[in-house]
Amino acid sequence: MVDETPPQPPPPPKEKPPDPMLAPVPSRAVDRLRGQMPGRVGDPHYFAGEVTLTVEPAHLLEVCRYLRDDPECRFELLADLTGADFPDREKRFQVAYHLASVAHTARLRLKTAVAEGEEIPSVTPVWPGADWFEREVFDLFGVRFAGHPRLVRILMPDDWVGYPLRKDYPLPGFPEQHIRYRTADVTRRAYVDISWKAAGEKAAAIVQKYKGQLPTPEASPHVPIKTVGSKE
Amino acid sequence: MFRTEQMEINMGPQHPSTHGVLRIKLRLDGERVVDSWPVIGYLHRGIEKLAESREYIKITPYTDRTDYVNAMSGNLAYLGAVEKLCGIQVPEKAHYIRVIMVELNRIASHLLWLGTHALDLGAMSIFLYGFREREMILDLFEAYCGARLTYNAFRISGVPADLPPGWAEECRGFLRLFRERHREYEQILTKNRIWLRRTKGVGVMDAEQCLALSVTGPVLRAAGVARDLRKDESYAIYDRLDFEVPLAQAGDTYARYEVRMAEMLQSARMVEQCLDQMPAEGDLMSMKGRKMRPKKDEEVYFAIEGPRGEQGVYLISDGTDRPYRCKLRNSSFANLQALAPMIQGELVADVVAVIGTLDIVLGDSDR
Amino acid sequence: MSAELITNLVLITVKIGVVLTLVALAVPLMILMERKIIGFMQARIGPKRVGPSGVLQTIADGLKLLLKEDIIPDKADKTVFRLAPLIILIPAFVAFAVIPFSGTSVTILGQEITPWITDVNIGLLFVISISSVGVFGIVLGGWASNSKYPLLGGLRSAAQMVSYEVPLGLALVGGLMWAGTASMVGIVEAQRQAGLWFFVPQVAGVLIYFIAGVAETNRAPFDLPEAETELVSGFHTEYSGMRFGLFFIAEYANMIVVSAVATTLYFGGWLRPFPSVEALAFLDIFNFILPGAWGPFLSGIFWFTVKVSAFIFIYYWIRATFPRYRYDQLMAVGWKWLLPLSLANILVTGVLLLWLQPAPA
Repeated sequence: MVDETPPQPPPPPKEKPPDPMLAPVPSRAVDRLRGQMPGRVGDPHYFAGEVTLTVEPAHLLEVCRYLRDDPECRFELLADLTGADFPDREKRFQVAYHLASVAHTARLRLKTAVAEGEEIPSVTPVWPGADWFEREVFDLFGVRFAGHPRLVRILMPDDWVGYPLRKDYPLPGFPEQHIRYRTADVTRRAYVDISWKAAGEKAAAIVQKYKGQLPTPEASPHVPIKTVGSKE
Repeated sequence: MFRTEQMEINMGPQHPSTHGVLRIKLRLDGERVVDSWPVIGYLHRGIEKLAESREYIKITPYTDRTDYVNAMSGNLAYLGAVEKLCGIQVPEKAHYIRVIMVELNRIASHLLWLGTHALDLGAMSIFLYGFREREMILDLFEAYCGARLTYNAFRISGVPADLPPGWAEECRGFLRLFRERHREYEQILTKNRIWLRRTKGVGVMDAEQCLALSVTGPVLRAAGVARDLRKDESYAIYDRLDFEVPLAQAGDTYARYEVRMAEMLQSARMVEQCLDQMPAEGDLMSMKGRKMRPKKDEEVYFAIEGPRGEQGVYLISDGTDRPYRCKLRNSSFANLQALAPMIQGELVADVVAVIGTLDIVLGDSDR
Repeated sequence: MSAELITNLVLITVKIGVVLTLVALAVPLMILMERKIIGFMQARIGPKRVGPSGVLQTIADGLKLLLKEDIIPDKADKTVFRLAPLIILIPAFVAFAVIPFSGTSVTILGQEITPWITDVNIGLLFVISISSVGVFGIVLGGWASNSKYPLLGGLRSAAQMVSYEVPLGLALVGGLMWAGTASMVGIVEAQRQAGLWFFVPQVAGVLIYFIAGVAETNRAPFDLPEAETELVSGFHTEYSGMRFGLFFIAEYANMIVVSAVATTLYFGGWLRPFPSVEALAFLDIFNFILPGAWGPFLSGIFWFTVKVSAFIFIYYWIRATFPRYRYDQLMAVGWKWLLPLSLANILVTGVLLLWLQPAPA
């Protein structure tokens, strides 16, 4: 790795002056939530003007409803919902909900975590817009959401094997999924004989090989496969 | 004796007006949409996965390629998140240059929307007029950063270069011309009876539905919700600019047209103010090195008001110089969810109108 | 068979050949002009590469279409699929049979040559009926493709045909009442005798006719059967090569027919502007250049062409300006506006004529 760092990289200042890029901290909503629902959410974590609350999947829907409906909170917009994979943790999948309140111009992050094979209640009853976000998390991480209206892949092809954003999913994909065309085949006149057919058969063979692991919500999805191209 | 059947039809992924590789499975009763199921992902390039194995500084070019008609905002959202994560201060002058570029890009993006939306509805000339002005903006961008589509114009902690000599005058000249041309667009469309008939009452979505479906940006503002992150969270130097947030109440295609048309003028105003206020001298980048060492296990979410809505970036750091997770929250993805409810019960011709009015970019939604 | 009959047959055949050739040549020219004119309106250049200033562009396009593979979809109804372009093309050309291009006959080799192929006393009705046949080509083409987008295009076309045939015909009735004859030549003659073009008393009629005519020819803003941005290419999505080219030619030939009928009925056909004002006789320049009957003959053709071109220019202008109507709105315009208006036009015309002329004794 090339390190072109000049001798003294300026360290981030310890005490930052108030940055206009930072949104106000919705501490009032947090206090209220913790007061109203003791034990439902963990201690707030503040960083860079943002506040994060952790919540158990079991209490998620209740907390979300409260945050949406309470007049002091009114987080009526689910700005984002996304996952992250921490294979070392016991509950490896972390799902983050970025809530925004239009009325109070405030933001709040809710976090929850589940282990492989566990389900998170879907927040589509609270914010219907969570539909596609949850499908995306399912698609890329394999986290399943209970009560989602139609949990199917959204970005990857329907017959894709594996969940690409997991840390143990290799960056170039699984070797079996590579379909290589020799240059000679392409440059020869043979656009008929190189073989979309062979490619299709190969793809079918892959699908066959992983049959039963295809990403239906019912099937148990993840197969650990040796990582070939992870970082460093 | 007679029997009617519903017809299933695939609109896209190859279709002249699905703006890229969007596919909608439609079930039609005659020409009326009974049911629809949008299918995306044809342009999924795994940018989020790639980002996990790149240094922070090397991810910026990828953000160009998500929303490729609006790469400046993509850059700004990502860099804003990195700067927030690492606590980097951006020099004042760099902020001004960034805002100038982003607002010009908003005009360019809205012009592209206007052209393609009008073309979808059969008004062909406005498409070329819009592109004529968009070309001028691209020329300005080219003069600044050398690229016309994927700019990669900003750097972490600032911008790499000052505006070239004479650029500001060029830009002012363009903005004057643009105001005249904007009146021409309005003359062609705003009072046109066919245009009104094609857009009024089509694809209606009220404020409550918009919020429930995570729809942001002009679509939300056309439903009467004054949510503009430039005002609400006023990042960069937006608090020093005098501008209005255009609002409409009807929540239909025409209201969204009005909002976007007005936004273009507001953006032009902002660029002029920036050119006036920008300090002549000043630092452009506060950080000289390349090594980023953010705090371990911290996370930030930073969002800006892109032309299509909230454009956010969510970063999780693990203390190394690469993000542990980089999620791009792009507005096309969320806004596309509004498509199915909007076209329910409408005609095929309205499907085209609604796709146009949502102003989606498939690179943006698929990443 | 008498010699006279044979001469007549030969004469008519030659005339048909000439007219067909001219129309077939006019179509590439129209396409080129459309691209140039709309290009100008849209602040761009238009075709530029093939030939000087791109004049050969349409020829090149035509050659390309001729040489392209003719693909017939597997599931198509093959007979109808092959037939459909002809069903639309042939009526478009047949309609030229009764259109008078000029008013004066010339003599070549001792034969009097009239500047029309035939003059029948139901000329206008002939044109209307023939041009409605053409729409079946679109419907059948859309149906026979056995594909979804063409089917939608064909259905739209069927609906459009029903909605716009009626106002189209009724709008012409007003003009007919002024002319008192359905012979195309007779109509122009009536305008010469009346000393005014019939668009003066028939402004509403012209507007209704032309709007319905634009809809009949499937041109923007009524190009719903084609509707590129909605139905990909509508009824001719599955057509390729010269079969597609035939649809294209027919569309432009139909534009000429609609323009020619409007010119004949409302704008005095081959007559110069203000035919009754002697002081303006210098406008027929060819009268002074060429001897005998050739002068008026060419002057007539000149004015006819100018007027038809003006209409075609309006076609292009409309296309560059307006958004497309929606299917249901198109029907609403046809039934709720054009039909009542054309009926009212007939009523007003009738009252006006009664008031102007005493009933014939």
